[in-house]
Amino acid sequence: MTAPAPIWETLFQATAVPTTKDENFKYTSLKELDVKSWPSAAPSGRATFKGEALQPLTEEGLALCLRSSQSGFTILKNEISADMDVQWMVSDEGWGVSAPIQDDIFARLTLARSFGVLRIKIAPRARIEKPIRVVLICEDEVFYPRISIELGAQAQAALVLETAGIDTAASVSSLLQIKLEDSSELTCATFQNWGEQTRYFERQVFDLSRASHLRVIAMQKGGLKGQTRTETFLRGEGARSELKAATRASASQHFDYWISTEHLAPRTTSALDYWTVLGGRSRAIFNSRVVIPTGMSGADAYQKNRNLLLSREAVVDTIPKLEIAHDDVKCAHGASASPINEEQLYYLMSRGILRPQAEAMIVDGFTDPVLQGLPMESFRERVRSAL
Amino acid sequence: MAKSPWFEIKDLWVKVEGKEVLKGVSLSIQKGEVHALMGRNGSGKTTLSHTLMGNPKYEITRGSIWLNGQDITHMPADERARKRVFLCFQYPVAVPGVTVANFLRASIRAVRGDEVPAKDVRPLIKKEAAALGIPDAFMTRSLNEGFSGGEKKKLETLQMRLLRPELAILDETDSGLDIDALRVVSENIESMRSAELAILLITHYQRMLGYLKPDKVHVLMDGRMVMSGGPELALKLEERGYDWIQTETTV
Repeated sequence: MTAPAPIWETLFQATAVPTTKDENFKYTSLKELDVKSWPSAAPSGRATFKGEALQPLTEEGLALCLRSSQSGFTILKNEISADMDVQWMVSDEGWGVSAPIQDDIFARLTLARSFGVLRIKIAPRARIEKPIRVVLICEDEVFYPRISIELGAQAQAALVLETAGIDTAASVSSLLQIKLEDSSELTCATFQNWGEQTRYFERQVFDLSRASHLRVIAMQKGGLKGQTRTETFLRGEGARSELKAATRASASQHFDYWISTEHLAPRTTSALDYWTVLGGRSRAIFNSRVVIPTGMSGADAYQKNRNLLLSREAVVDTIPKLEIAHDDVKCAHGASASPINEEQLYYLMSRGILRPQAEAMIVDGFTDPVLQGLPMESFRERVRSAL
Repeated sequence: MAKSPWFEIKDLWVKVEGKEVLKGVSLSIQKGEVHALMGRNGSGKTTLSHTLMGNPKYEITRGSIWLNGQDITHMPADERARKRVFLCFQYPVAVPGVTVANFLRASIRAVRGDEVPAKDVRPLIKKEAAALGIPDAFMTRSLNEGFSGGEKKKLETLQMRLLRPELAILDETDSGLDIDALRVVSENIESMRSAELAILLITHYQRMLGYLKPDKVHVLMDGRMVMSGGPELALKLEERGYDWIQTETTV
């Protein structure tokens, strides 16, 4: 096993820990996290995770598993087609990592400490029929997973990414890179279900070439405190990204979505739908920025953040931003936060349905349009019952 | 001794958002009877229907509501529904993400319980929906979301068929329906008429009464019941409007 590239460790150590004075960490304080002293991910071999999450995975398609206690990945079910190349790459000098993620403290941390990158390459024009399933399991106090997906021109595939972990305190810093060549299409469904005491910092970079299409459907449930930074670069004409996320926050959970979408070519389309249900004293942050530079005619950007508040103590901060330097574009954005609609509740109750059940139906209904977009019936049902 | 009424409203006063809308309404209905409640827009008809169903938005300041000898004045809506009170909504609200099928199954389970065995619920819905000409594809749609006026009323009627109420309050079920849909819905309700069902039909037109002959007709004006009579009263209102009542009463 080769040690991670030392340059990233040096860069990570040289990076100042952002404070709440930093616009993007305004609501997510790193003060008590002591990021600089997170340990390296030495395989401890003291795995306590029971691994129930793995069971349903072998039903359909290819399944790959990355565990924090191991230095490589496990192929749970091998149906790798000739069109697909799955590699475990060690010490790649931060291959393909684009700015501005290069400056991000957590991206640097992941690059410095991960044992390697799970790299999945789909050949041009390939059609991968069954979804590629990846499970990330945090069995130790730290986990630094890295995944890279590349689709060749005109390729089509679906990825189902699931996370799970121990319920005792753990820290996760992850990096997911997706690169779509011309006219390729990827559906990426994720189910974030880290353990109850996990603090996680996820970094995602999506690069889209001409006429490519990315659909992300993210269900978020686990963790204690987390920040997901998503950077989408629409680099080729006609590229299209659709990001949908549904979050169920309860107790004192904290979900921070830091999103940036850059339209770097004409006639590019982006859509963001982030829907959150908040109970207890939970908090969610929708911090989204859409950038359309000059010359990007026909760009079409849409961002919507809807929040359903189940308690008076729950807090939502929604900050949709637009930076538009061109006239001939279409932009729409909206945000809402409201308690359960009393008229809906009354209507369901007028049909004999008890108040708690009526509330549950409305809450499920709120996130259901996002859930409906998940590929694979079995996965959909699994997520639905987990929520 | 005269039989005590099965359903009775006694001197009901109701406030909505601080404004007095019903000012002492009294009415009694026996099982098997159809009563029509007529009145202009804004007379308090819809307020009465939602108060009877238990919408918490409507504040009862005086009076009481009795069902089968039990005071249900402050009973929540779900409990009233399980006592077989049913309101056919004029404007049923959309509930995104809740499918029609799920909603119907949950309400049948809640209201009828063991009376309908679990295995019979789906076939029952299918059969009753077919009787109303509601296609299967309808069942996977979000409840009332993007429904036309006719579709909403058909779904309300379907619920009435499935939940087997003993008191049905029909709030302007005839509004927003074309002639064909009005016929389907009205004939359906007429077919449910039985000795076990009391109907309070709220309308401001005569047209539905052509299908569903009322035993009694009442007129509500400015939150007060100003006149009651037989079916001929509805015809008279259709012909002459409401102005003559105003001059004949002290309203």
